[in-house]
Amino acid sequence: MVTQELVGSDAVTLEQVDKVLRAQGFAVPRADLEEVTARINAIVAGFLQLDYVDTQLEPWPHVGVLLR
Amino acid sequence: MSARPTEAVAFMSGAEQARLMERGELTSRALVELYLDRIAAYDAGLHSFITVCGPAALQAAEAADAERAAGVVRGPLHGLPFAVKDQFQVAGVEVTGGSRSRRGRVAQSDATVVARLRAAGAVFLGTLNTHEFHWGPTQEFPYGTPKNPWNLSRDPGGSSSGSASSVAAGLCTFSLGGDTGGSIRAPAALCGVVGLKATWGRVSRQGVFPLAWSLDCVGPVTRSVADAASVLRVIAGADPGDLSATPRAVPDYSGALAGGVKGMRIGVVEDMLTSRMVGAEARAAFEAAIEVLQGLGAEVVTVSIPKVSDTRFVIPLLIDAEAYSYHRSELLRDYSGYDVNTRISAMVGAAMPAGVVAQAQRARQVVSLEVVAAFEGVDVLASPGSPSGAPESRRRGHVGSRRQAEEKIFGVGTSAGQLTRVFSLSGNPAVTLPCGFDAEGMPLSVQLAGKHFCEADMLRVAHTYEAATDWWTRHPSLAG
Repeated sequence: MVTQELVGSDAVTLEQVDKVLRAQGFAVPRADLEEVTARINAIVAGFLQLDYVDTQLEPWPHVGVLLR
Repeated sequence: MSARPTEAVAFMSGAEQARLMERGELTSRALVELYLDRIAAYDAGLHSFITVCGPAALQAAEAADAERAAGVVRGPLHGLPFAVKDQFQVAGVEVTGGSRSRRGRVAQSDATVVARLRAAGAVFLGTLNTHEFHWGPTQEFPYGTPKNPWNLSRDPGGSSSGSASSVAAGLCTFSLGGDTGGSIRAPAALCGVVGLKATWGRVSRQGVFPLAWSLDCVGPVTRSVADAASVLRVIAGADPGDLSATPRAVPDYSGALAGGVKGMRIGVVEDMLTSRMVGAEARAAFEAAIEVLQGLGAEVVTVSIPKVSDTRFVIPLLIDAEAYSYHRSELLRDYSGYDVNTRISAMVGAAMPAGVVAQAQRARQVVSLEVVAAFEGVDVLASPGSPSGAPESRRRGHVGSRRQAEEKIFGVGTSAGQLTRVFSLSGNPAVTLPCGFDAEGMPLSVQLAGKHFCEADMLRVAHTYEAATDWWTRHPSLAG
């Protein structure tokens, strides 16, 4: 069950990040792994605080610029 | 034959140098020699350049002088020495991207923009220091840590660090940089020179090392707005080598500079003036600049981009994801050859949930539409170009927790990067130019942004302000 109370807690663990990176061929040093995990959790937590969930805009990067 | 030019010539605008050449008071060769001497004297402390191509530059300068003597002048850049961020391919020259992992890789051909500058008579002088692969903030610079010429203990900004510091220090007439989230405008602001990012798609990126394709722009760093207009005219335009380069006609930006600002409407972005976004000195200098423009006849109104501060997460998220996709194979081959910050950013891109990246793209559209709305009824938007004068250079140290990442990486609680990033997300043209100094003698800057493909209006406002002030004529004293 997803609840608002979970927002702000760390989204991923170091072990989970390690698995995802290993699946792509990377066995990164522990210090790097700690920072990767910290950054992902900061982004996810920061992003979840932003109010984009209900927007109906399609995420088309940049297509509109050249047509304008 | 002209005498050896004085040091003052090194800091002239390109237009002033060209006038001396027209009058026979300066040759391109003498100007190149002056810059080579200054690079030899000062760049060991500044680390602006990575590669200096002295003999080839002298040869090209002699050819430019011979053409001029024969009555052939290719344009306003004829004979003017320029350098490029070590991101651009230049035939026969090592292109490192500021990385030790790319040492020894020599380009086989010129990037389109380099070829266009050479065809316009400009003289290539060398490649310039950068944060690794234009990502930043690099923790260990393999070609020397770039310094701010106004104070060597201060940060010159990045990623186009050398592009800004070399022009500010009078080591070349102009330079090219790359701007993905502010990497031209921010260092230009901190070094007291003019930094221009055109509309996304206005300038070809063929032969330019990518960071994030949907954001990357190429543009000039100069000592005057008129020079920026001249360079943009040369480098802009369609290119079969880069399908994102628009086929729209390239306006005469230089011809559009005159006419003043009477009747033009300037929108001051109130969300970029809060105490969280900008310091008191930078705000005061900005407000004084707006008063100058008002005094020259511009109508000033207040506008809003409410979600401007959201860019702190959106830009790095998009850059990390896009750049990882480019660097993956090289990282698998030589992970430890990358700077610690670069490789960690790439791994963030590799492990970030796809849904979060898609949400960032959605956020980008929301912010872009806010920018479009802010332009309703105004010709340009205005904000400070940097939150303060250049800060002390320092490494950030290890980041091991979410809280540390928020503070040290994403600048939660500060304005780092947010002033420039919004116009990268929206693809609008933007320029930073000097508007004063802080109490410690570091340059302050104003940022002007234009509507898509309306660089001419934006540059006209910038030029009018510059002509009414003398900030741009000041330069750092490097001697002693």
